[in-house]
Amino acid sequence: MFEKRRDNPSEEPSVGSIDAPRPEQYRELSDSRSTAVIGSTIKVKGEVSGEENLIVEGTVEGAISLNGHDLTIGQSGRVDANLAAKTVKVEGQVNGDINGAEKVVITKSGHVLGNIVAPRVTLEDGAKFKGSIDMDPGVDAGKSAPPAKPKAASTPTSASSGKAETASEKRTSTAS
Amino acid sequence: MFGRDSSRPQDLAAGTSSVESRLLPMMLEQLESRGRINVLDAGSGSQSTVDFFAAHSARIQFADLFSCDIVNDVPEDITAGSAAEYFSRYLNLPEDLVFDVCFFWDAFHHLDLRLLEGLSRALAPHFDSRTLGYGFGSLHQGARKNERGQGVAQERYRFGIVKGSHLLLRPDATTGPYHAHTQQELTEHFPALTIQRATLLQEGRLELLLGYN
Repeated sequence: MFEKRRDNPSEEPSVGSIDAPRPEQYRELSDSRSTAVIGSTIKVKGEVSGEENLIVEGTVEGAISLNGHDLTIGQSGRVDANLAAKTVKVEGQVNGDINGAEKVVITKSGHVLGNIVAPRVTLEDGAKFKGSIDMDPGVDAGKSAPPAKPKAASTPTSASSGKAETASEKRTSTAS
Repeated sequence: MFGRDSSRPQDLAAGTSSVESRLLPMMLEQLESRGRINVLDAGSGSQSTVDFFAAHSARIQFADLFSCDIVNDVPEDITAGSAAEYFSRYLNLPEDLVFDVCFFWDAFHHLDLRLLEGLSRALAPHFDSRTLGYGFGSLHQGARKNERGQGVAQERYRFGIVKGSHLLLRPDATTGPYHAHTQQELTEHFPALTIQRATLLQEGRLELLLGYN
């Protein structure tokens, strides 16, 4: 028994001799504090914004803006909203436009109906996607994601915002 | 710009195969001198296609055509006109969007003649004299029809481009009615683009390069 404690001192700390967290534990604590979670039974209507990472396992209708942070739509996440974040990872369902300042990833369980603007896009095998991907929308793209606009409630798909974004994409501006 | 490498792609994912294309390099060559391009892909997203065009300034529209209700369950009373309206709503493209290139892959084969004509009408406003198309046709009309003349359900595939010279094919895990369309049928029922070149592939398939009328 004593030998076991010597081998794994952190397993059964005695009163008055609590070990200080290791550096990696500090990092884990810090990370967990800077990631918020919208749980699977939570429903949000409106605009969600913040200065920390966010995982959505519930339902969100409206808009999500996380300037400089990571957004994950988990497998149980159902989002009817436009999204803007540094990176956006979709494992669940998104009906809305996505702006990723660095990258957007749609995993094999992800289903996206909307337009994506990001310098890098990953579509895993099995991912379902209907919409447009723009990886070079302009000089300022990729520096920071503009805040997401609330998704119009009457819009069945992402088309209304898609039209606004692509209005400058007439042939006249693309011809070489 | 659209780098081409005729060597066979390596390290393919399980279930994925590759086919060398003769017409794809010819088509991509025509895009070389263009600046930012608009791409239509009839499928539901392909990493290889995204990667391929990432090196270029491009906007890629994935149509996910096989998730469209009328493609999976064709209403008996549908007409080319009502199909066109349906496709326009489903695709929901920006009015002023004009495509430089459209990858139909084998979508033609999963549409009957009414749907084919409807798709042609829905897409026509988004084509102009520089629009190019790529897809597959059939040498024989009845090759994949049952005794009642209906399309036999066949496995669908996801397609992608790799190296500018090869197509990647991966089973899509879905099936749909299969209507083998000859060049003549495509010419008559998909008038928005015309067939410029065709090459014969295995099993009576045709690789098609399309252009504007």
